[in-house]
Amino acid sequence: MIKFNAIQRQTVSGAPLTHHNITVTPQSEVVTLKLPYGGVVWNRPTGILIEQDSKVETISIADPTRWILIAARVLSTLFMLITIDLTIRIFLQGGFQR
Amino acid sequence: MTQETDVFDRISEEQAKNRHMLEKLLSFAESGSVYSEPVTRGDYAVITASEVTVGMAVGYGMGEAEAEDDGDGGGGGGGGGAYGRPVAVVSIGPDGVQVKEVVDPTKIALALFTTIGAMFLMLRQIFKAVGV
Repeated sequence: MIKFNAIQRQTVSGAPLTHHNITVTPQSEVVTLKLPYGGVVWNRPTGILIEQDSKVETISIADPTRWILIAARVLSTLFMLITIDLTIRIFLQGGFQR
Repeated sequence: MTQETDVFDRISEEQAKNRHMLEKLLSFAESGSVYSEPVTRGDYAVITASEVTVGMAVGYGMGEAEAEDDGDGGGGGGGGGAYGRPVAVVSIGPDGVQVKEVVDPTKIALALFTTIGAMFLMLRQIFKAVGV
């Protein structure tokens, strides 16, 4: 049986950087869509791992721009669905003028 | 027949090459493209974090001749694009590690204007059709 593994999602750690006794390891999330004749790779930073004085801390990286863009897309999709519903209702009631 | 085999062999070779190139380009986008090389100035080291999207595809086609005198043929094409957007700046200094998110006002403004514009146009068409 062929295993279909076209979409992959994984967390990747980058090369650690040490500065002032602080070691920072960048982390990112990679989503890969591989098709026979093409593919898409989406790679975004998720956070950084900080090691200082034998303490390990993770700071996550928020992306406000992405959330605002997602909100705008959701809003426009909702509005489109409402508009389609409204158009169908008006059409069924014979409300359109010719 | 030999000419036909040559064409198909050549296309298969090109397909293999392009697939290899695709794999290489996609693996490049998978690793190490999100965080930049550190820039050190005095006591501070700064790295930037970006969202990276890469997409590409190739296509092929080939045709056999219907008549003996006609030649066989094949062709291919491909395309792709890459997109990057800064997300955050990580600064490492004597006072610790600081992460500052990057907000892209141009992108947000464009998205909002497009959304509001599309909504306005849809409503105007409905009101026009209803006769309001």
